[in-house]
Amino acid sequence: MTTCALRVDDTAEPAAATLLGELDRTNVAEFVAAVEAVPGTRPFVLDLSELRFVDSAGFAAAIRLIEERVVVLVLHPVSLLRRAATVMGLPLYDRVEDARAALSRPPSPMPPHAG
Amino acid sequence: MPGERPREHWGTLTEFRAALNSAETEEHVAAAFLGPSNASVVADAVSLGVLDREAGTLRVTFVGDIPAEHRDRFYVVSADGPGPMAETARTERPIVVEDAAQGADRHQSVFQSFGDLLGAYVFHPLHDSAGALIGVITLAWFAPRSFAPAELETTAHACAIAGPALARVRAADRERHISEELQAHLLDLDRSSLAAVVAAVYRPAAEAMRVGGDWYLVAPCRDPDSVAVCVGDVVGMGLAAATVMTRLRSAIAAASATLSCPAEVLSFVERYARTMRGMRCSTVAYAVLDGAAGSVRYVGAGHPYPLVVEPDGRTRYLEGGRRPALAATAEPAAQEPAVADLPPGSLLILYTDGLIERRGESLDTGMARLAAAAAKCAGLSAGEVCDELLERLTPPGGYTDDVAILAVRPVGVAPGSFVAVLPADVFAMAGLRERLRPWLEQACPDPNARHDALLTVGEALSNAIEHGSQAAPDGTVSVELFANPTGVRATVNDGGRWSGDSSASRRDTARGRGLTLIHALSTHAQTARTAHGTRVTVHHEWAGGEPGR
Repeated sequence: MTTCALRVDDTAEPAAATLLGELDRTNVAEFVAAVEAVPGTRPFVLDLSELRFVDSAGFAAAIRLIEERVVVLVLHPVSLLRRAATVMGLPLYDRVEDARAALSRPPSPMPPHAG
Repeated sequence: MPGERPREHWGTLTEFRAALNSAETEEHVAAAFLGPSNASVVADAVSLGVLDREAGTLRVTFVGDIPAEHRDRFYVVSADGPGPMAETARTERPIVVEDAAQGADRHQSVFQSFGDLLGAYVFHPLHDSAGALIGVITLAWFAPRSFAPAELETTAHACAIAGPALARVRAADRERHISEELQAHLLDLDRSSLAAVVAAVYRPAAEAMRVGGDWYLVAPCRDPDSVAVCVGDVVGMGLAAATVMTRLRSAIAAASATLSCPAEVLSFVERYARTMRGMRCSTVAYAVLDGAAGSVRYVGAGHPYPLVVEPDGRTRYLEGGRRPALAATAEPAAQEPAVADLPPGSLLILYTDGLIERRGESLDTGMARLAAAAAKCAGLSAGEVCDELLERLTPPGGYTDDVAILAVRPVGVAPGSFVAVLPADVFAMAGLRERLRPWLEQACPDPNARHDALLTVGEALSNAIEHGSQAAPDGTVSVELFANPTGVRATVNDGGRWSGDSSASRRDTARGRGLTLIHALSTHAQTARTAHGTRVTVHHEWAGGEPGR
């Protein structure tokens, strides 16, 4: 059984949520529902750095969430997922602070590692 | 737009006739109307609509410079449709269009689809030698043009020759299709057991009809940790042998489901063989693989010895459990089964004599040749082993006897190998990752390569589960991994046939993304489609450079 959990830090705006566990095609729907249920402004920061595993269905869901401006993604450069995420073309910030800083800077933020 | 081209009729109708005589496909028939490439071209493009009366359609083959998009839009047209090809099929009379822009209103939707492309057309019915309509040929020219009466007469004459040629090609197609279907159904491969990865090939003797007396069988046992595997040879060739083979095969499958001792199974079918015409002297190698014990119990009735290939490449023939061919002697054979070790990662190979026998050569030579070839296959997946052996052992001039090979690898984990069979269920993936992680950890020093291997194997398995096993909800998928000091090599197999490949692989689809990951993160990946399913091989190297770059 593949499981993941969201740890939400809403002490600052926008919120930053850290995803824990594993994400694959069997739990991707729960993941999306959990992300969409996070209260507060959009997009908020979703940190994948503590995730152990993401498959192509998980990456596809993350791409949709970015396109719908629900989240921006953080993936620390040393994460084992980094190569796969780059191959999938996910726009990524290295750290939560970078993402928050970019989101607070008008106008629309462009992540540093797009594409 | 192409400019004016020199035009002639099939001035040399002799050449046209020769092209049709050697035609083996519908495309060849259509291409004959284009003429030889170095001669003056008669039509700029040709489409051949073959009538399918049951479906009420014309299946269209294009030759010449027609873009793929147009081909895809018109690859099948309704025989009731408004277009000129369908009308020709209904009226069985030619339609001549000298300028498409001035053509009949009812045909304009078709002409406009090819708007910039084609200016003039001749649609002509094709009849078989009995005079029945079998298709419509469309000759098309890039620019509008006029047709002299003599030219149209030649066209009619050419069509009268092409009709019977098309009929011949279609009949041969049907025959090939029937014998291939028949063989695929006669020699199905039961992959439902979770105890072992199984793979098989059957190769008919050159020049023979595609059915014969050699066969393989994988049969479930009462004990889910066990699986029965079997290869046999019925005397004779062709349909008669195939019929006997099917009966014998069914009898062994039934016995395997009820009797657990291999010797009892053979004694059971031996009694049956005594009563059945044509079964006498059939040879059988039969083994029950016990996954939990890591061993195999086996018997052989007049059949070449099974071969075990260990992970390090050592080979041994299983020479015990011998008895005569079925019903070959007056007294029923009573024989205890022999037992042999089958350690994790090793491979059991059953085969028929066509693989090792060559005229004027001793059997020992053939067996030594097989053992040497098999030793090189220790690190290959079961399916690859079948293909490799068939290839490496082909005699000069091809096999003169039919050949069946069955390769079986028990599930299990050893430092150098990881072999698993999973139910075709995406929920099985999480458990597999948990089991694969510690194996990868000891096999691979680089955590990034470990993660990428885990991901690509997972993607290949997900694709196999979702796309390769649609037809079999109770199906399985298998994975075989082998480690060497500089890399891991994984092979994922499913039992289905991927369909709609081209559109299903687009990058933005789920499967397309999976394929993108597999190819980008692995050092090398390849897909092979076989009669028994799809095989994806993924290779991760980590020494001497960064993997996947």
